[in-house]
Amino acid sequence: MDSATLMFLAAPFVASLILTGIHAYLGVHVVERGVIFVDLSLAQIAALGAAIALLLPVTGGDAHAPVVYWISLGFTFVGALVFSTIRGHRARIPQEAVIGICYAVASAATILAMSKATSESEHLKDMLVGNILAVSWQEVGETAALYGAIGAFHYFFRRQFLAISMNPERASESGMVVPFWDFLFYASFGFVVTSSVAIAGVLLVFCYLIVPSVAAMLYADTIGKRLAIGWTMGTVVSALGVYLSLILDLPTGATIVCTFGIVLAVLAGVRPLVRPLLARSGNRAVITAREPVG
Amino acid sequence: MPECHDFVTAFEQRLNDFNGRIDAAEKRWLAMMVPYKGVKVATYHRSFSNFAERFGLDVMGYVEPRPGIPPSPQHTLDLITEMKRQNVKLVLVEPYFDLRTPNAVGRGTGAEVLVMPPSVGGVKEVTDYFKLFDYDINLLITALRKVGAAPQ
Repeated sequence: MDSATLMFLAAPFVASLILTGIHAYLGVHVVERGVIFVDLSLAQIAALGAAIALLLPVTGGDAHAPVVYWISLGFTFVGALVFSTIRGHRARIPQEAVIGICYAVASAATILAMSKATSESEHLKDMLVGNILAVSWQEVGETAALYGAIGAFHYFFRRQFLAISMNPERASESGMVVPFWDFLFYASFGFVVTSSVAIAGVLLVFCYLIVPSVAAMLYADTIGKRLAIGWTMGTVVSALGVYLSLILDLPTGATIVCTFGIVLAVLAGVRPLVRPLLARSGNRAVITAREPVG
Repeated sequence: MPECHDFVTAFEQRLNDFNGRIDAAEKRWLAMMVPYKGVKVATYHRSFSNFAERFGLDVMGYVEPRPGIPPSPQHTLDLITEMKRQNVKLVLVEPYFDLRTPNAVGRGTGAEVLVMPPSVGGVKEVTDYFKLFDYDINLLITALRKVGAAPQ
């Protein structure tokens, strides 16, 4: 690789590391909660917010007006509010059902809003696509600052966030107001997902969120180990995906997604082979069945 | 009820009037573009072909050669290298495409990304065919002057 190539790929690669950092962490929560498609649903709700913003006179039909972003963020928070109420103590309705309904209705409502918009609604389609190759250093910097702040927020309240994700019943018994913390979780999650999707598109963001966390669950039980495995996997897959897309002349985002799939399949395939070694080293995760959570 | 042939003269008059106006306008547009004949540009898709041919622009490459499929790193790098080598200073994009990838090419080459409506209604003030070419050619010449583009 010559220096021009390295320079060109540096910003997308750093962006993919930032995505790994925050999403591999949030993915642990999302998988524990069993709300796998919540990112798609929140991203679609954000797109609906942008579509409705374009109908309001205040934006003048300009899709890049700052007010569009704020209205879109407002919709994300309404989505977060809805998702924070769907977990009852003995809820009969699965959370994924509500998340799926929100996704479908938000998608359809976006089409309805776009059908009434006079201009620039084409750009809303692009909100959910993204091309990680086209990311600028300015976007990388802004995203790093935003995710750093949200990461710090989660680190500061890690005890609360982990308690509500891993064992909400016990958290509730200990006096925590679970819906309030659920709302903070989904609101901060919505912030991250909306920005990530604009850079990398829904497919790639979904993979960064779910695959490292699932791969880690194959090999480890504790949060610390799972984060370490998730971050390592995300970094290796990002580097490998960017490299493969370069040498095989393929679109970068889709190549990273497929690399995630292949690496996960390999990790699952070799698990029975390394299982005796892990068992001897005393890792319970691979020898005892996981207890259902939530 | 009037028959169609009652309108033949009226139709012919309108046609002659239109032909006269379009011929005059075309001469004017072509004259405006003469100093830039042969200037090299890149476009988003293979989509400004007729416009480029008529007004003497040389389209040397495409940002996204397969519509809807994001370009590979190698294609984007090749385009950037070629644009630099041939001193290409302009990327033409229709208003309905996302500007992220063209902007990345612009950053890599120092070229200007110019959003140019390909049809009437692309911007509010372009309400008929004449206004479309007036608008596009003015936009193009302003951009070409700004980047100091000249035919090789």
